[in-house]
Amino acid sequence: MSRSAQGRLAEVWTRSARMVGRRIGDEYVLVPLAGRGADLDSILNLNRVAAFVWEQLDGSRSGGEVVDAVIERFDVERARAEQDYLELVETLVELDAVKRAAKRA
Amino acid sequence: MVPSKARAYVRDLLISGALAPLPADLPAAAVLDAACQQGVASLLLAAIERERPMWAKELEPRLADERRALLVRTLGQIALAARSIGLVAARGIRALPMKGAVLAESVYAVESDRPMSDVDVLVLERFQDAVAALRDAGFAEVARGDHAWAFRDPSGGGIVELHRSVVSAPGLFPLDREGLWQRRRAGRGQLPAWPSAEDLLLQLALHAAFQHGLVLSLVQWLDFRLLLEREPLDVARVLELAAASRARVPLAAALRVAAAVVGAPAPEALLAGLPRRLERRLDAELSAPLAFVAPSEPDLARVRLDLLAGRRAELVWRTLVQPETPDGDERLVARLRFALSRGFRLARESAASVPPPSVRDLGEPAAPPADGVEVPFGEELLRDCLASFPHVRLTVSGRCMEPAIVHGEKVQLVSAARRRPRVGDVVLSRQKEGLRLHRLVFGPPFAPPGSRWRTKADRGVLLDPPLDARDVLASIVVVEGRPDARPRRALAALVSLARGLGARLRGAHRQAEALS
Repeated sequence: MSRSAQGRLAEVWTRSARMVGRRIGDEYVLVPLAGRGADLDSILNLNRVAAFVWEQLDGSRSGGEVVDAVIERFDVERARAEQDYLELVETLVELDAVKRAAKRA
Repeated sequence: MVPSKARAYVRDLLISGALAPLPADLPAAAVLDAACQQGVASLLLAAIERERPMWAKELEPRLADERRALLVRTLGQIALAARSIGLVAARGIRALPMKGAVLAESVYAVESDRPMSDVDVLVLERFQDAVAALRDAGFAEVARGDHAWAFRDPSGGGIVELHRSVVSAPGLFPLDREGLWQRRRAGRGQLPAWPSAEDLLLQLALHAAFQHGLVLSLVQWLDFRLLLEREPLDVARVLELAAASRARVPLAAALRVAAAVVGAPAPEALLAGLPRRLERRLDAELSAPLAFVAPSEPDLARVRLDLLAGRRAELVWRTLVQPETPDGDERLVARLRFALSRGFRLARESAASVPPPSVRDLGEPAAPPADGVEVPFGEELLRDCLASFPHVRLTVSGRCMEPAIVHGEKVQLVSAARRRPRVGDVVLSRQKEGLRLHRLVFGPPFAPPGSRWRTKADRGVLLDPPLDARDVLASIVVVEGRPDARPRRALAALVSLARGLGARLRGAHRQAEALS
């Protein structure tokens, strides 16, 4: 793994208040709440792993720790889990759905 | 018949938690419609996902879309309530969310399970300053009642009602504002705080009994059950609060109906204290619980009188004498002057249509439809506004009622529960294509009880399809800007009816000729 990827896995992220995640039936959706209230066209569907990661982004766990939890919960290799995690966080940052949490002491 | 069967089917689902076999004469689509109308589409889908009955296979994608839309809408509405509370809090005014928004976050599994037409915020002090806070933020006033003013959110279009009291006739059921604030709980969702479960139950009961005459949608009755099942309630505290707010009777009445309609587990202690007359009436009428489910029309006046046996003079006083005039004047002299004019107006209103007090637009329609005067709002929102406010103003579009009502004119409507429609009225009715403003050409006082009513556009040729009385939601009492306009024209209605029947006969005759 590259040094930059390792650095990104050390970062801690927290969910933005402007994005709400809910499980409805078999779906897990993220609903943005900014601007014109909630917008049906802007909701995101997350798969099981992504939904699990979303719920871990509480501002207390680093990316590495979230990946550990993913590996423990799902049958997936570390390299794949790390790659998927980083890609998901990148998407969530673009959507303003997560923000960087203050560094832990 | 099918809609009531479908409502009964959906109610059975709520009570038993399981889907009964679908009767042969009940289309699956009717069940879906009933579930949507009663606010329980998400709960129907959850049951279908659990049991996977064959008949529901085609409904699943539609229900899933509906649930997704409900989630987005409800989350947006709760965000609106939170934002409104934040705006008034920024001016040092305490306010708490009420009813649906709190319940959606607290007792329902997910917000989409508790759809609502608008959100309610109870302002605990300086009501006019709270109004100013919303106005300054760009909110537009859409309706004004004694107990609440409704505003449209400038960004999302949702409606928030700012309440000065839980129900109309403020002061009839005194609010312990300090106590409400002290007993509040921290919110666990978007709302910063929730009222205590005991206060919430009392508010629901007052709203159901006094404001809606004990007729609610199924999801609103379900609120009672879930609150009783899922929140740890201090029954003694509920009784104490109900006594302090003089609301023992509405509490007991609402809980008795909730128990009958959706099996709400009401504690015995809370069911006591009904006046004998009301108790007898409920005993008789609860054998048909669907009579307490919308779109049944409540007998609001009778329910209120029954709820307030021994307090009727106070009911009249509180109805007439408001905490302030519509212009915000709190001086006693101004309030009494307004009370006198209102009393005079109400007395006249029982005999004829008269201009109502200040009301505001529900908004402008987008474009005039070709086939009638269309109403640009969802029935749910309109019903709620008509139930909550004495008058609702609409800007109409379409030309089929000219010259009686001209495209673009503002009209004021009164709900059918407050003023029984009569032949000649221009009524808001639920037609196959949606809500329409057409003239009532056959109905009271000529139609026998239980018969179907007929409406027709003044400039239309044919009669509209027959309507049940409950499909007529409201009637126009005022065309604004034209004091000489008479929206009710009995003679014109009879002429219109004759023309409609004539057109039908001519059509039948031509058809017969073509066949011969």
